[in-house]
Amino acid sequence: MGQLAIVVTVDQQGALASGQLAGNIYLIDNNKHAGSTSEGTEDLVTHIEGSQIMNWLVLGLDLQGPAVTLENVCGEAVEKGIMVPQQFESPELGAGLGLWWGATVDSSEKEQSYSYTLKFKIGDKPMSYDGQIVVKKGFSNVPSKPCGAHKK
Amino acid sequence: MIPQLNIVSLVNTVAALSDNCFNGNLYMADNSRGAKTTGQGTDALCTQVQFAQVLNWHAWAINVQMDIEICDIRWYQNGALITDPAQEPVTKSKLYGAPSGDYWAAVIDKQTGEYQYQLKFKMAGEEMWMNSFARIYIGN
Repeated sequence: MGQLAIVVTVDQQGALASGQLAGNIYLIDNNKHAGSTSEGTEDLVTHIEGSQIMNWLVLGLDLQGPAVTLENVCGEAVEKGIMVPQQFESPELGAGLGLWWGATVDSSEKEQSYSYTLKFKIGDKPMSYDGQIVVKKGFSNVPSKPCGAHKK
Repeated sequence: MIPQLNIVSLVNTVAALSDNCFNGNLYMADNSRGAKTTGQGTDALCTQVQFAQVLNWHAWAINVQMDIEICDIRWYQNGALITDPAQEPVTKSKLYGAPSGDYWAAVIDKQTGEYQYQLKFKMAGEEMWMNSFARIYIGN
């Protein structure tokens, strides 16, 4: 089982104009085969089988606009110890992509849904997004850390 | 009017190569915020644009270990492939290099109209046209 990636695409100017991420954020993961739903929308529900590493990759649609950065990962899944996030850096990634947030997610005996929160900054303005994961029992093969990464 | 519009294609490259098809593996989004822009997050994005606006197409891979780039674009009107470049709704269509990744850009050259287009992507040395059609709507 490979690592799970969630690409978070943000329309920064749209978010700043409306004061919220709703309607201006699109999420896609590479786990549709495991049951993830609402790919390409802000309602993405990521299904995770077994313990897994997940990575959030944040991209701004306004390439000429203010930077969008993920500042923290928190919420129910983190508070309950299901998701353990941390920030990584990779010398292999450049162009401002050198830092990213990843997490290990624990396996569950029975299928269970958890919410989590991504805390962003667009320019200087903080904004948050509430996402959802569904964890289920499955084969676990978690490496000690993401490939090519070391803890910041 | 936003002077530069960005259209981003997010591709599950591993799945697209495995399926030999982009259906279900391509998601497009733009920053146009036009009232006639539809299909955000799908492979059938319609982007509302205006005359003289610059369009930038970017391709990003969900599986970041694999590079992806746009290597061609072809235009259709009313379902028919446009073979005469003068009939295309854009000019100066070409690939530009940038530190954050190469992108394809063009300037809208028509006042009104609706056009379909397809992008050709290159992944792991393999070139594949998208299976669906994206659109631009030129006008207010």
